[in-house]
Amino acid sequence: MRSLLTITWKDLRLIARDRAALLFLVLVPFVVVTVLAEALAGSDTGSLLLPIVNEDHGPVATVLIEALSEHAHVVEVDRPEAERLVAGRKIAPAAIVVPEHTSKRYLASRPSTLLLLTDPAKGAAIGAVKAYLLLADRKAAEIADPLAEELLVMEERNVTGSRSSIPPAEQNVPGFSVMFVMMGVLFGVAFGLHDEREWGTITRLRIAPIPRLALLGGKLLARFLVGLLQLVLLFLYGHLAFDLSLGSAPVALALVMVAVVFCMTGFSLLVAAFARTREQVIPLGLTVIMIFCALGGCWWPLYHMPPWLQQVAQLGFTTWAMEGFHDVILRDRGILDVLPGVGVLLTYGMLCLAGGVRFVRLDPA
Amino acid sequence: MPIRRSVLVLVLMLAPALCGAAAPEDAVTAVKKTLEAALEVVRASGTRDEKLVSLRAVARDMLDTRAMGRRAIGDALAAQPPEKQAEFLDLFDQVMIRAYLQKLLLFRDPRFGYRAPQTKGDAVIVGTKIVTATDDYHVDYEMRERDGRWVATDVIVEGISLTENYRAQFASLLRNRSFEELLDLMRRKMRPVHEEPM
Repeated sequence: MRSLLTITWKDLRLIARDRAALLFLVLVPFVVVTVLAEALAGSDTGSLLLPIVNEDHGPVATVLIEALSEHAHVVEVDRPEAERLVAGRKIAPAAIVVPEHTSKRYLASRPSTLLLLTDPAKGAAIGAVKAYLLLADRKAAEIADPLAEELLVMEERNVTGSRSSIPPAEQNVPGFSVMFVMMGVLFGVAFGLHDEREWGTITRLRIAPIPRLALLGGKLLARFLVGLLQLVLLFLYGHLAFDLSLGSAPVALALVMVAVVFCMTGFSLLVAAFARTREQVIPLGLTVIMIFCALGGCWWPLYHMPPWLQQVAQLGFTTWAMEGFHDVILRDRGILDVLPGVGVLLTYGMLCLAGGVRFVRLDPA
Repeated sequence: MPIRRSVLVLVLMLAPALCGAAAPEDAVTAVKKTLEAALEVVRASGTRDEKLVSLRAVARDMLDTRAMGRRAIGDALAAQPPEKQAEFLDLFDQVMIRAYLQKLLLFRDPRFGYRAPQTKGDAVIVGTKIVTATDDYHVDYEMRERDGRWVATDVIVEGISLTENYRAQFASLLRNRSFEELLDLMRRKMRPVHEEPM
């Protein structure tokens, strides 16, 4: 018993010696639980942005807008702005066009077609919009002819691509692929560097006629190539097993993949630099992976989160990675369309690399 | 004496026509009175249900829903036993009043405008418009004099006659369904109204 307690005390002292690892161990669950709880709290009522193009300007449009405002954040805009919010800025899952003379047709018991401009990449939110529209239609039906046929008919038009619905696999496969590749690259880079330090092999490499940048660059390039291969294989598997679309522009997809893995590699070096010991790598690595994946939309669509968290999420490269994949896979975007996102990812990666190179320690442990 | 009698007969024959000459203005007055009464109800305090009850009474005062119902269903009604005819006309009254009020209630605090009445056979068409900030909505009332008062025998919304609209719907329904099925459909559609205080 005494020896057992002695060993326990010795181990506790060892754990307490690495204050940072201890801190991560205690803090990580709190941080992750908080972030996940906030993310899963979902969009509160009314936070869903719903642009409405009111070409009717009549009482039916007024009733519809009032009814929809009870469930979503309705903004009245013109048609180009509505398309920009859905397809350009991608901050609204759908926009509703109430055509001219809807009220007059409604009063005369003649049906009108409401146009629903959608971004199928936001399938669940579009489902919510359709449900809200049904509720509004029911409200409108209270003022309609009780015997008449359906007076408000809905026509859905995808303004971001050619498809009208997106299977769940097309959200999940890229999201989990990003997560697992990130795990591989981050732990690979961080453990690789720490192992070299702890094994003392870093000393051999440092005394060899190899510049510091070449040493780091070589190690990172290896991880980058492994990560890229892993990502390509996961997408191919998703394509074959789950019918994951690879978009209509393979070069654009390749460009996004390269930018994403490059960014991950730079980010991994930065995380490795901040983990002062091998023990710190796991809690620190898991924390950033979980937070970045949760916020970046790898586990669930970004629009499921509260608006303020969606804003915060823009700081994470995973958000840009997922947006890039969604642009190519779900929205059929081409090279020119993904270039801004690719630019952000490459810049993000460069900054992380610079920070990592500056702070990473290559001296023996 | 025969001349006097002839004059009397002529006067008696022309009387309705002479009355009719002044009648269009009375028809407009009847419509105005109804719409203003409806507006008063809408603006008064009270719950939606209380207002609906009052509005139904106001609308029923002007709309001759029995005439509209007979016109809408056409010859099919005559073939039915009296109790079915009565039930149809009762249900149609509810359908029509509800449809009319629901259309009227679509507008928040409406302003009404009136056009000069037009005589069409034995009817007077009273043209009204609901004026909103962005558009005008035309609602014409086909008015006929019945038992010394003016009643609407049709309402034409934006050029579409409500009676004709129902006529087309009934004709379409009766092509595939029986009169009893039509009654059943109307009963089901009007169930919430049956439950409301009339």
